[in-house]
Amino acid sequence: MVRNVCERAEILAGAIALGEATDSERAEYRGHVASCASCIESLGGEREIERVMAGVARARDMETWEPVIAPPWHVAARSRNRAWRMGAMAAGIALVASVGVHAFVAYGLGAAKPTPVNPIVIDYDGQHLTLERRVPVTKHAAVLKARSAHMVVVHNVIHLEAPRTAVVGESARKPEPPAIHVVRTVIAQTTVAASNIPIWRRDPAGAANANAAASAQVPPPLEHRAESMAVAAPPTIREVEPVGGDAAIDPVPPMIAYAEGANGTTAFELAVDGRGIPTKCTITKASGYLVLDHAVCKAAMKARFLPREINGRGVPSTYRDAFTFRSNGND
Amino acid sequence: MEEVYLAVRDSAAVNARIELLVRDYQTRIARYLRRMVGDSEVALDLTQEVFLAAFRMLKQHPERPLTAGWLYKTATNGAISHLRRKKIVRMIPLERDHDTRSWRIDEQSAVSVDLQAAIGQLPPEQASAVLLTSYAGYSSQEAAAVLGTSADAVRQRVCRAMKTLRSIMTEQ
Repeated sequence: MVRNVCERAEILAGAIALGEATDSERAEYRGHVASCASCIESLGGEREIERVMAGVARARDMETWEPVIAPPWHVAARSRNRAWRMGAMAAGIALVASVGVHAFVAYGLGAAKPTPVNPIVIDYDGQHLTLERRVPVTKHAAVLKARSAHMVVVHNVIHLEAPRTAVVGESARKPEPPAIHVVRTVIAQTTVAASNIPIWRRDPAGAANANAAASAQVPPPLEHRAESMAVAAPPTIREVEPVGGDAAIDPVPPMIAYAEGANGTTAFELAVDGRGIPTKCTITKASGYLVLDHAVCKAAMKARFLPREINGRGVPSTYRDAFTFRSNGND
Repeated sequence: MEEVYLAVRDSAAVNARIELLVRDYQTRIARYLRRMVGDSEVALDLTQEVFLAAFRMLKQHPERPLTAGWLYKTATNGAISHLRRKKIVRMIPLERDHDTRSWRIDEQSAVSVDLQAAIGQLPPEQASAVLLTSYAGYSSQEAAAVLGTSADAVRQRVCRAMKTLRSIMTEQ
């Protein structure tokens, strides 16, 4: 209650200060401060209030500051012009930066002409970076180069070993003669282990020629068969071979291989399950170019195979093959 | 408080009315803002913004009446925003020597300097109530309309501001 009364006294004092208090309000204020020590202490009497406010009025009357401001439409126009200028400046900076970056990328490093003999060495963050000049390899350049260059992809010339004859009851059959098979292009510089060549690629012509030489090594057929062999029929075996023959596995080297003039032979083993689907590719002899090895394995994994069959039932097996890449684009 | 500027649509007419408005009120608004923020340069900038806002409002809505109270209300809001933004609500700018000199040279009186030092310690709401009534010459009713409050609230703010002014001005 006391607080409300004192707040009322504040309102009355404010009215007195502003010169808006009526006589009844002045009397009410006088009556309150006569009995309220805190209000008379903090607010003072009517004379004190008017004295303070007179000081404020005197300061107001003595003020001489008369500023002059620019007309608002000038400010608005200047603001618009400033906005245009800032926008044009930002666009110009962006344009210059873009041109500069492109020019540096296109000509900057080339103009520097660092060479292995005289390389550019940059100290950055405590590390020494050495720039060597290399012909930039772009996709466009690689494609243009690939049109003029070509890469020969061949299967290797491989000396076949005699086929396995470990199947029980197959002793009476003649072993397959070794054969030389060249696919696409005959390039006989690389020899891969004979066991790496699949059986399906045996060349009939080569086999006919080699038969004579091989026949001498073929053991004579057995004159007598065990009776049990007549009872147990020999199993029929078909080795794993790709569906589609030579064209089934078609490695496609990437453009970087052409640009780099990649050469080499990649030999690989492919695990094929009983359904003829490749499950794992292993590089047994790397070409020296990772891209070539990847291309071979990628093509091999995409191919489909006739699985190795024993008595008509597909079994998991391993397919071995090799490819030689010879690039003459840099010749 | 009762000045009402009629609707104007012509661009030249808008410029003419604004020019008249600037001529009549730029000094009062600038002085009011200088007392509020305690800095002449800031007061000039804020004054410019007030009349720029008036100019834009008239350009977009020429049918809306523009009163002097609107100018003071915009000025008050701008000053309070400036004080809050700068975190100098309780700052006493005239403690700096050059500001004190400029005020003394400007007004040739220590009363204004003392008053400014006292106003600098007031909350913005109390300072605006005192300045609108004692400086701009508005009644408590008119100041209440500008500040968006009641007349009794304005009187109470004036009273509380007066208590602070009394203590400071008595010490000095």
